[in-house]
Amino acid sequence: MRFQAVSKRHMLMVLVLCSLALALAGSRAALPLRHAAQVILAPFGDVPMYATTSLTTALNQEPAPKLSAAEVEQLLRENKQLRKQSHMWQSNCERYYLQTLRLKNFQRLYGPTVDLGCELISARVVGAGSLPYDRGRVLSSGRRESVDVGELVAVKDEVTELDLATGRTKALPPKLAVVTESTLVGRVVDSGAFTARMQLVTDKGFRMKGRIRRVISPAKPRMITVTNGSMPQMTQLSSANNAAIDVLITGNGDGRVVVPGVKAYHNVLPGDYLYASTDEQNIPIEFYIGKVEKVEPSPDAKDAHRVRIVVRPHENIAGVRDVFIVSPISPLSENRGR
Amino acid sequence: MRWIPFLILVYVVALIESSVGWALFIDTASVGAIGPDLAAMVVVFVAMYARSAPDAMLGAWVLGLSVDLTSGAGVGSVTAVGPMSIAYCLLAGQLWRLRDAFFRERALTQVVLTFFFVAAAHWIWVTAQAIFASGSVSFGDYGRTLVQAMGIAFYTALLMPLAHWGLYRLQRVILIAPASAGRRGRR
Repeated sequence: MRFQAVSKRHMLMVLVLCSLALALAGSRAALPLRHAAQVILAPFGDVPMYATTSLTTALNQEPAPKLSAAEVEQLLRENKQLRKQSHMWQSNCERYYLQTLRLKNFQRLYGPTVDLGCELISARVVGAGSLPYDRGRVLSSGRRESVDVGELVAVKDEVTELDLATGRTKALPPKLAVVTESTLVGRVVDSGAFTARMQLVTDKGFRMKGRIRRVISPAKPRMITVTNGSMPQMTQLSSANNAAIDVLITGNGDGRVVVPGVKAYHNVLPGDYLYASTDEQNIPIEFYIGKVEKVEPSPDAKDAHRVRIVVRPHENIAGVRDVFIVSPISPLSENRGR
Repeated sequence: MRWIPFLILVYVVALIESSVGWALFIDTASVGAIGPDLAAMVVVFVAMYARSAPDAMLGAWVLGLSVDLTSGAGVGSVTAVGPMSIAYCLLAGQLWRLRDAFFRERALTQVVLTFFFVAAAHWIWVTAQAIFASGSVSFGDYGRTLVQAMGIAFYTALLMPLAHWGLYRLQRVILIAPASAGRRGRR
């Protein structure tokens, strides 16, 4: 009994010394150990994570405002009309799709071979950090090769349409690789075999170049300042002067994306759109991030001419589960140059 | 200690903490997310009921390591593995020594002990990670993370009576090994 107690103490000392050595080794020891732990936890993490994401999605749904009987009636009428229009557009769309397909087939037969410059690696959220200090989530990439740091994570529902391009090897010119209705939810910060860790766009440490695209609404015309020669002048926002505004985006750690230090004369308003900029590494196209929710004065008193923009992500970040990791096959800078 | 059931419990706690536990997080704009440290609850329980100090400390070390391995970022870019296992281990030893001075079955005792345990463990963890991050953490970030740590301690302490109720029912499975038939036979 005495021997057992002594040996336990010795074991304890050895373990504490191991911990100390690991702590001193820093990220060199931490990353492979964490990947090993993620691999052990991932097989059983799928079901609880499914329950968690389903629950948080249900909880985060905002209740719709109550409507009067007249409003309901009007909405029903509008819906009926829209449904008719939708059917019409759908049939038109199908017709054009068939035409496009015929042309594409013709092009494929007689034109040069084309391919997509990105591989979409299907991934699923299987876990999160155990402590609330970080909001990263563990992804199961389902393949042995590790994913490069900085690769993007886009929501599966939005990019599934381009599934056919996955697995191709040759790069495409950028104009052919357009992905519509895609949403950026984060980026991979580190990865290993079978798993990768992504940082959500709403994370406080998230930094990325972005672009704000202002919406032109005839019902709500807006004035902006444009520098014409050396003289700044006020003019109405139109398609001619509606250039995208390059910004730096970050998360606020509270489910929102924040764009600090935007010049007030751009007159960004709630309802405008935020995209990830293609100037950023590993961004092949402008991924949609979300809609401007709030424009507030800059918290820095010195920057009176700048505003802070709060963006609501298009995707419910809390409920993100099935994702794609966008892996460029060829250097994107080459693609952009073409 | 019954180590195999205990290790299964550690695995389940790590799994819950890194998946379902995330649903319990409360997001605040000022200090960030606040959530319960489920592993710390088990450590406090083990320290309150383990037969010997080395048992409590070994169990705490294992749970601390599981937390270290499943929390990738926080203070600094990539956090080091090890500080939480050391913090849990040393604090569980201290708690084991102090436990006779308290009525451990009382909810208030559990709340108070858990609060101080988690606050101390997370203070050690945050400080160690800030030191290992070598210059990338400002004093403002450090202070904010400490406030977050206090929030985590408070949240964890509030949930401790519930965890105690559940773990108390598992006590025989994970902590107390009944005398085996082999030993009786030898007598």
